[in-house]
Amino acid sequence: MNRRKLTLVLFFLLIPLIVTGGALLFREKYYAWISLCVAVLTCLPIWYDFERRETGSAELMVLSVMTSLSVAGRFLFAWLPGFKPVTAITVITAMWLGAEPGFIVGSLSALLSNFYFGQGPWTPFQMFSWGLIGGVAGLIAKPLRRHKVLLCLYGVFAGVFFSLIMDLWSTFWMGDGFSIPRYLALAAAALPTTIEYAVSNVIFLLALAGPIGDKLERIRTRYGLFREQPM
Amino acid sequence: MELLSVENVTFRYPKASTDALHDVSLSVSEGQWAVLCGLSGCGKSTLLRLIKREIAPYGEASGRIFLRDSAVRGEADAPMLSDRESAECIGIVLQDPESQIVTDTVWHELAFGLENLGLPSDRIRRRVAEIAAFFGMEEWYRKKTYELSGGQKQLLNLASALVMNPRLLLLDEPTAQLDPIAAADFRNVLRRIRSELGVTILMAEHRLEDVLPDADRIFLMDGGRILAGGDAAALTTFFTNNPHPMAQALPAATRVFLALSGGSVFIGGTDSAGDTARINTAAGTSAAFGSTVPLTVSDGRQMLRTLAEHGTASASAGATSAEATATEKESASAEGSAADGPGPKSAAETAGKPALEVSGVRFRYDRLLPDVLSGASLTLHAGEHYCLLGGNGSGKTTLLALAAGILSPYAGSVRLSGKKLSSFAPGTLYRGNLALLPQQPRDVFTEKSIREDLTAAFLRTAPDKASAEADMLALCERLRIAGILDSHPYDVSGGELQKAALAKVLASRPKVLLLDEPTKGIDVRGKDELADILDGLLADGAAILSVTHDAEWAAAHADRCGLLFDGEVISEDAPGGFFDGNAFYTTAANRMARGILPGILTVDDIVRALAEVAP
Amino acid sequence: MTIFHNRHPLVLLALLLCVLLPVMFAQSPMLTAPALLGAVLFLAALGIRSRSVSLRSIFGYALLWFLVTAINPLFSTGGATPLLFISGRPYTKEALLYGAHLGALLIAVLLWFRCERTLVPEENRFFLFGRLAPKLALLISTVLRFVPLLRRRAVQVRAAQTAVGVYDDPDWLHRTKSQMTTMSALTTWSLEHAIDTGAAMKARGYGLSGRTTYRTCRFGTADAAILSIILALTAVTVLTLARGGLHFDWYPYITATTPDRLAVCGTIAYAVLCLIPFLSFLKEEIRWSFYRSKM
Repeated sequence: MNRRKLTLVLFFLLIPLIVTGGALLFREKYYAWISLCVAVLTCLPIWYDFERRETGSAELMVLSVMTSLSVAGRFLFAWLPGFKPVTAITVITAMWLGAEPGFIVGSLSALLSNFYFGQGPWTPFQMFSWGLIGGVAGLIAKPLRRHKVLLCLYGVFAGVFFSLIMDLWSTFWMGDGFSIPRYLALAAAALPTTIEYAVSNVIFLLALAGPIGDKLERIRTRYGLFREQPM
Repeated sequence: MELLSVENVTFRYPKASTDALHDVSLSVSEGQWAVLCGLSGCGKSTLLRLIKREIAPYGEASGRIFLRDSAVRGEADAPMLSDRESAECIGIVLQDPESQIVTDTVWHELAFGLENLGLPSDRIRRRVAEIAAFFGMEEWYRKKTYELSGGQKQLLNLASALVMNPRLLLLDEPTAQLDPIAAADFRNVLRRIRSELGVTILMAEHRLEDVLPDADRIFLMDGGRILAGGDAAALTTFFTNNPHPMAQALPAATRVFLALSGGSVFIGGTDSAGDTARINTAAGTSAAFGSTVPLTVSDGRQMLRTLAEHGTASASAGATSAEATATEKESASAEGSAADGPGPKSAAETAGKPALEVSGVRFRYDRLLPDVLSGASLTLHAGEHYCLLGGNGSGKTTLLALAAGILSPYAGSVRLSGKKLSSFAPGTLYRGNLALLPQQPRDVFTEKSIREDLTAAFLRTAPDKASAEADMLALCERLRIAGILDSHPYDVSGGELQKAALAKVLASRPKVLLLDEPTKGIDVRGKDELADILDGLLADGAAILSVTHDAEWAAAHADRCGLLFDGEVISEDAPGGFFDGNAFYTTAANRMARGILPGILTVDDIVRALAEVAP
Repeated sequence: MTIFHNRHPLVLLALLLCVLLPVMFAQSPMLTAPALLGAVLFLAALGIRSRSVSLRSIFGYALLWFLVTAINPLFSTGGATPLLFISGRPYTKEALLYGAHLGALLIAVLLWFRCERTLVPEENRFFLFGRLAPKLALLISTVLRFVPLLRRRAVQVRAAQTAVGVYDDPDWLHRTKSQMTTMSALTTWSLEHAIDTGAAMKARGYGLSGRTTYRTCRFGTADAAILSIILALTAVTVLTLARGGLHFDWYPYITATTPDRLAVCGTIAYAVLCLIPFLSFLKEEIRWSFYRSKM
């Protein structure tokens, strides 16, 4: 319940506050700054909540393993550029372990995989996007587990969402202020990548949701982990 | 003063039909080194985990466990051991070196437990510095944990347990996954811990060769009960009166002693008869070396010398008859005893093209790195079991990967029945030709149950589902794993899992079977079972190449042995010639009998030779 | 080689933020130039010292700069001086120059992230994290252990799967499928591994109340001194920015406010800040050659 309150406070109070405050302080020129703050500030309450709560050692290690899998998976499929299992692993984690684990795995995967693949100003946006993709998947975990079609749609949505957020950042970064035509032009230019993200997400989700889900289910029941997450 | 006492502990896993531990009582005094021995599944790990409350298994438990005056478990008048005390006072090191490491750096790993106890930074620094100095780990203190070797990882686990200042150290087969050199290093550190720090040690182990000389007390477990407890002499006496498979895990010298002192041992577990041979010696024999039980190779040599002088007119007479006995056996070891006769299997030699021919392969992992293999060659014939031995990092596993076509050499070639591996069409090499059992049998499994995995594997070669099922069941019956088919691959014991993995790689009916460290972590009974299975395959005409550290196993079961050193296979010979020619890299029985009895490879050989000698 | 090896990570974080944030959001060449210069000098010095200047990465950055410069006018038509017209849209001088500046800025930021890699020893990277969020820091530490482990395991599992014929077909569809099988086997192994590691953590007291974090770094007087210098220099820069001293308009015409004394001070302060890594490198070099000559 606490987490939900925090999320509500975050979305309906804090973010608008920063956006308007930032706009007043820095004028339109500082969109990039504001977006950066929003990306970082979205992660903070969820991380804070995770930090404060007690997590059993085995549960902590399961989160660690899922994060590591999505980072190592980037290496495993490195021969296919753009083909990354990060989204899929994040979504699968969220589907079986819950929204918060999903967010943690998503955001940490972004932060840590960039240590191997290159850190940059885009890191906070990747953390934000992958974290959110995981968090939302956790909220609709039940239908996602039940309907394959829905899962595929979510994979497409996640790919498009991720790509659009990145384009948004590029627009802010490039431009003197925000202009819709420029954003659309960038998004159009990034269309092949967007399609690749969406397709690879669907492939990964279809191939891995079953097997990895079974394994997460097994350790949940066998070792009694992540009990507080609704099934 | 007793440090640990276990009183009438009974434990049953959920849904199990029998007790994993039944009315177990034992005690260990302060400063002692106690060993819990028994075959896998006898309950020794369960007992250790019950003592270490944090990682106790779920299930029904009764009975009481005390650490000095505090109760670890069970309702008692005594005060309970607090969680903090349990973390501090009882340290544990488990079998797998890898999975016990938590953090990414050595220094953080050492500090981890102390952080959990809530010590301030300056005290952590001091404790960590002390322990690093004690273990001599200054050189790798700043390293990443994943850069360490397996032996270093296990030492780090030991150091991380010890940094908490425990009074009791629990060890669950800590050297099972290590190579012999690393295992010896680990035991040396344990000896220092015991003698210099006075820490009490309780160790579960199924290989007694190396720990028996150090142990103050040994408890023999079987089926969740303690059968016997006492020092090495008491245990030997117990085995004298009660035959038990664990007697085979005793040091070579002790086994010889046991055989001679009128007891019974299982010898030649793989002999055609397969039953136990009982050797009774003259009453005078045991008097010859008194009542001290020999535990080491030097003890054993002493015993053999006395025996040779006492029991017979001359040692040479014994030697001749020993040779005579040996030649009666069909085993390849007999040929080896004829001083320098390199005698590979003659039958195999004549049989056409070799099943597998590795010729002059060179390999390196990177252009800039040195060669791992620099012109290694070996040939393997149908119906032959070839054991490749070699030190750690000598490239044994690499050679196996080359032979399996997983890696390719940059020079030289690998041929299967005369055909180059690279010229096999895709999808044919691993069907009916070649199979590899990896060091970690878990790696071959991907499904939820062993049955699903095996069925899928058999479907690749079988015409239809029904025949695949039938083939699979037949093989599983033969390997005696039909009972575990519906289990998850991670829920069965190491030996069972290995057999299941073997079933999976055999599904393609390979002519050449490659085995990577097949006896690692397997107990004596498992080793015998494995040897039986392999013998069956050999009889069917398969060729087997195993890579192993286990000289005893190779001596008992190989047709030919080779040593991989400096990137090449050197000194290839039948086990008899191979081990007799080596001074260090050989079996304990051979080292024991060197210069006293000739042509000795195994304990059975000594016993047979002596039986002839005895009046 | 890490010049700042003995500095407290807080100092390094402060330096990085104080260099990056102003240059990223001010969009003024007066800041971009020194930022680029500072990073290039430091990285070049390091490259020459270790004799490993990568021509490929220099070429890569040049290409990036060229692309951003050339492409920006295609997206942005803001300028007032058209150079040519592409399908009716003006390709302006201002947009081209803005693109050139943007490219330089992008490269400066990327290079500073690269500097961070060499400035901060890896083990100190998450030190600040450890103080603020010990649990996340522990999680990160375990992930950094797992990733190399998993990559190695992936090779082993792949070998094992190959030998049972999983990778038989060479076509890419089959290869992808086999890779998924490896991934699945890897998951089983790592989840069981996680359970074992969890047990090992518990055995060593994880979960007891009052966990502390072992601090390997101490904030010394030298750290305090450098941090105050960094903050003071930044204060000057920020003051200049707030007063609009470094204001730079790109569209429709490029106009810059004539630099007053404050603007000059601000630029100099920022330039000194950017040169700190390079200067400390020089200091170290001089100190060592002096030290060696005495031996």
